[in-house]
Amino acid sequence: MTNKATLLYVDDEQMNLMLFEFNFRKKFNIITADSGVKGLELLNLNPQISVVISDMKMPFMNGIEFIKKAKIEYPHINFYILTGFDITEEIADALNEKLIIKYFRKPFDLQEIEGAIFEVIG
Amino acid sequence: MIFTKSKYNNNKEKRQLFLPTVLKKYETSDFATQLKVRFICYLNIAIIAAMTFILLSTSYVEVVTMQNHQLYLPVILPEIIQLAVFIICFVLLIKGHFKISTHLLISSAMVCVWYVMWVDNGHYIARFDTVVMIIGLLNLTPLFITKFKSAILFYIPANIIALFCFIWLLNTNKELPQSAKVDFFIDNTIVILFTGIVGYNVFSINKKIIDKTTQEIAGRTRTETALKESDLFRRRVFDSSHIPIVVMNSDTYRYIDCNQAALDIYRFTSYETIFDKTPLDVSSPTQYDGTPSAEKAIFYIDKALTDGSVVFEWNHKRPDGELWDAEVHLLSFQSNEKTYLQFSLIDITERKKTEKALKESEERFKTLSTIASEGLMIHENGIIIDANQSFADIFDYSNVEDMIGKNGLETFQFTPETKPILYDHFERNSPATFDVEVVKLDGRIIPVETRGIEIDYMGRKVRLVYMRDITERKQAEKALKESEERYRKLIEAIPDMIMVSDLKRNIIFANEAFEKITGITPNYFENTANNKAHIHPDDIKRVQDAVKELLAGNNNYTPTVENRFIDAWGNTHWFSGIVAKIQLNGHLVLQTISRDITEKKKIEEELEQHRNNLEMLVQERTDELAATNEELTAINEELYLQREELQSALDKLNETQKQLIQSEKMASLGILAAGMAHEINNPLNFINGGILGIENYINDNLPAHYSVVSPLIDAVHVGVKRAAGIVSGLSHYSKSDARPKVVCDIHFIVENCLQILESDFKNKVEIIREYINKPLVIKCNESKLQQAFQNIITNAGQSIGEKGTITIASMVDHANIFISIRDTGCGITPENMNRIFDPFFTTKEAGQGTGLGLSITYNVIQEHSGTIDFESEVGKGTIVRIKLPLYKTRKS
Repeated sequence: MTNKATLLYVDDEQMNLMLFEFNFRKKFNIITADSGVKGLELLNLNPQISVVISDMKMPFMNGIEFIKKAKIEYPHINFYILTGFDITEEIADALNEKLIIKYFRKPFDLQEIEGAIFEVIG
Repeated sequence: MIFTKSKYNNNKEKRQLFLPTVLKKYETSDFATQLKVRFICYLNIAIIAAMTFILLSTSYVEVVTMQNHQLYLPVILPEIIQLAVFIICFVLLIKGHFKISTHLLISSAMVCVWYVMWVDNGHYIARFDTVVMIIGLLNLTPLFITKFKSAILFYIPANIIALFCFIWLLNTNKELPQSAKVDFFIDNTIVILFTGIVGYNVFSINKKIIDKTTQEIAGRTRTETALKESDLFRRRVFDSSHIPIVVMNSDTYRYIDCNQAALDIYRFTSYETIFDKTPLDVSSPTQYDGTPSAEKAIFYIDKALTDGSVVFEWNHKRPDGELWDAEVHLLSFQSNEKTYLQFSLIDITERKKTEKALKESEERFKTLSTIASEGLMIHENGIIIDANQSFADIFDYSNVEDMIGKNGLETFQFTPETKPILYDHFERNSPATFDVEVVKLDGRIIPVETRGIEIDYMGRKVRLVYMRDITERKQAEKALKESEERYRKLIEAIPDMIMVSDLKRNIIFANEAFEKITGITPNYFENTANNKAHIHPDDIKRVQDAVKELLAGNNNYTPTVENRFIDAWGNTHWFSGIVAKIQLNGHLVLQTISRDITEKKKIEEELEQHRNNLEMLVQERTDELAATNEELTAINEELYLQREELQSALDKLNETQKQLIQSEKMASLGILAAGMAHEINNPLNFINGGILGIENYINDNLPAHYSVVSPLIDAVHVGVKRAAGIVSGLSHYSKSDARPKVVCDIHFIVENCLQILESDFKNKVEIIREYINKPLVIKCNESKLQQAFQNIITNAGQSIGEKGTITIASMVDHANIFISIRDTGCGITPENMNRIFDPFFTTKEAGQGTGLGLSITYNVIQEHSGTIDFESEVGKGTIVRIKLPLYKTRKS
């Protein structure tokens, strides 16, 4: 249990949180948050989080805004976006600025996500 | 001379004949001396003979007659001595000592006589005969004297002394009374003196006469010789002189003599030919001033006869016709009371020629420089040697002479800006032409074009300076420049585009408005594609027809022509203009004045669009009413209607999208599509996540059931994928796609597509590439463009049933890339042809295609400012032609 990486998944839809945790808990310790604000709180409480995957379109604070704030305090964390959109200007900028490592498309591809994360954290 | 000398010699030889051979020593003596020598010689011989006889006779008398029969020594001895002295005198004479010999002879004779008187014991009166002998001897003395007659004066006192001694000192005279002695002495002294003086004078007179005669003779001989000599000499001088000399008769003017030099210069062969010739025979018909030679000759001859001599130049003619010039020194002279004319000639042909050439050259230069409107000046180290009036005018000199001798650089005023240029050229001895500014006397500054070159001038290196007042030229240049500037500004200020082109559509001139709107900056010096007016291919014919009519007709300009024009960036403009034919520098060119009416056209198009939309809405309403009316008809029909409805809604959406993009007033369909995609993707994510969870769960916990549910799970996966594909396709409508545009070769994109499709085409489709052999560069969204091409090639492949070919060809022109994709597939029916770009329109079986492919392709090509055309025949195949703008860097 302890040697699994801790991953924070942020999405405003409960269904997505539940399905993500169900499918990824084998490989990661999954912590979920239903908003950016909650995500920041959980990051504060769980310093062991090394990977953050966030939805893009969320109320009050979208995924990039959330990551921007989190990145200031936790620069060592690897951030990803999982979105239903095709690439947007905002995402392209985030990629260029190295704010996020990669962005994934919904419906998610289990192998793609796992592969990308393990490539970075080993 | 030789002749004269021989004559002299003969004279001498003749005289020598008179001298006996013993007197050789006196050969060179004068004639008088020679005569005297000869006389003394004979006298001496006679005396010696007489003395010998006297000696012998005396001795005989003494011995025979005397009582003691002995020789009376006081008599005999002096006689012997006397004889010896005479012999000595003779020897001395022979030896050449004439003077010593003669004086010894006379003095010894006197001593002898006086001795005889002395020793004779007879009465002294009786011995006076002896005194007479003395006097006779004295008379002879002049014979012995040659030059110095004073010698006679020596003998006179000597004899007087001897007489005195004889009378008073001799004891034999004691018996004489003193008075008789004195009387005797005085008488004899007077006689001796008288005789001496007479002798002296006779000698003197004789000598004078002889001298005079000798002189006269000598003078006459000399004159004679000189006369003879000078005649010959003159003849020789005359003949041998290298100066041609001719003598002629002053009455007949005929030549009577000349020397060899004259023959040579006249080119006559012998003396005979020249006699009886007159000056006219050797002269050219006329002289330098045009006067006939005869007239001129008489003038000079008269002048020579009056003035004695005259010098003039004469133009001669030789027998062979050759003309030559001579300086003639003509003079008259008298000989034998007759007047002759003599002249010498100096050939001055070369000098004349040189003088003439020099004069001509000088005249030529003078004429040229006088006529020349350009200023010309010659200077040596700045000092003016010569100049013409034009040059003087530049510097306000009324007289050229005033400038000569001055230093030009110091005298003339130039502006401070241009003076160093002048100095520079002067110092470097540069032959370049340059402009300077001259400050005139009144302060006016005039521009002058000048140039200096080094030339040889009378053997000196001098500079020939040329200057020209170029005020008028400069003013004209300025006026032209101003006028040009004015017109340029006028043209630049016009908001309409003005373009001048030749008949081949090469742009010769364009104003700023034209360059700004079209981006075409004509390079007037190069005939490149950039200089072409790019009229839209569809409009070229119309424009050309208008131009043809213009060129053929009487009108100078066309009616207003509207045409599309492709600018340097590939954008299409609508231009409305008038073309006029004008003559420019002798060439017929076209001047087009036009306005950009693109906006107006757009508005027109939009209005058209709106009208269409309204029509469509009316149609929709009608359709809807019909639908409502037929609501209860069969479900198929209903479904069909619904699809129609959806179709029209999509069409509307599509058109609205274009409209929105064009007007840039509303959000794009892309955003709508993207939003929609998100909303669909989330539920798809639930399904995907859920089925994945279920699959894993069954796999982990109920492996026995897995084989049963596996097909079901796969079905869900397929469904999710297809739905996601459609959503993804829709998102291609998004114009806000942030992916950057890159520059790449279109061939590379096509090849990528072919590689992806390779497995599908294997053993079925043959690809034929007809690419142009160079990269066709385009600035594009690479993945989108690849998607577009992939859609087309996929369709082509799918249209082929069993086996076929796809031919991909590429072309390029100055602005565009052309790609054609030709297949040998089933083709498209005409009724389907109108709908191929409609979203969701497909002829493929369900699940084989979404119907979005060509719609997306169409949008992508549009986004890249390109066009796409389909041409198809059922059963034969389809050709897709795509045109995309060629990427050009601004430089090219």
